Amino acid sequence: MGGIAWRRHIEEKIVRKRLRFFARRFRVYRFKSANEVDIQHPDWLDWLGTRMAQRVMSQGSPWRSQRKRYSPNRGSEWHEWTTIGKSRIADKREFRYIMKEYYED
Amino acid sequence: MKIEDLIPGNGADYEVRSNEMLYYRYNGIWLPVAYFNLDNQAYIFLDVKITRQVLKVIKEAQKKDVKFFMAYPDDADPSGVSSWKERTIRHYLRTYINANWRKASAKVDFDLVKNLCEWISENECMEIAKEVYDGMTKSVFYHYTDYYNGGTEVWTYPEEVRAEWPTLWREIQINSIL
Repeated sequence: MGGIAWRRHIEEKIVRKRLRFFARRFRVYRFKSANEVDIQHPDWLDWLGTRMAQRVMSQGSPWRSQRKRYSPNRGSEWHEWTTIGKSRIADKREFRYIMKEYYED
Repeated sequence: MKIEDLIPGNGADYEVRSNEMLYYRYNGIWLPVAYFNLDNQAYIFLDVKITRQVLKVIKEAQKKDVKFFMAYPDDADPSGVSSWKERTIRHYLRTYINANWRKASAKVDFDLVKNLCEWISENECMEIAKEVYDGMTKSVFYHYTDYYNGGTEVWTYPEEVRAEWPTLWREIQINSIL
């Protein structure tokens, strides 16, 4: 318990949960999947690989709003989506920046 | 040839199941990657969701001289057998003009059109391919004028794709003759 495999399992579980939650809330009649195939009444797995799913699967969502920022329910764990170590998007951006610096030298 | 030969790298996140299909683990979700049919012919699923992994498997197959074709990803769980040839050809062409696929496959020495021609000659469906190609032409060149931004024309596909598309059928014909 607490090893790499366990941490990865928990991380993946959370990611799947977010995607399932999103698919349940954001219902559409019809959309185009990552393979550009028209799908009617999509299941949560059909969203995989799309731009929308990539956004949802990261913890900090890139949509910022006044309502979220100044909400009374914000709590101590609230953070901006650009926070490194909290958001996958921010982490990737940081990683790319480091890689670029490394290969330029 | 075995299905295990197609596993790239150290084989982490890959699994061969009892149905003799190769699966890849993507965020804890197992997605089908490749299989051998009853004639011992290798098929790799042309799935844009996991483009990098598909290209790795293709590289591995090329290294070991395994002859393979690409398969339509939804055929892993088929709901019918009607017009499967049309679906497969359409999926080949759609993926060929997909921006993500083009970006990822630029570094890999793999000719998707040549593979499509081999598949067509294997299944003898040149006429169906022509129908599908003609049907897609309209959607590739679809555009509209955005009057709210100074009357600029907005195209669904980039200029590279539009330039390549008219000569694509000739390329398919030449490859099928060779």
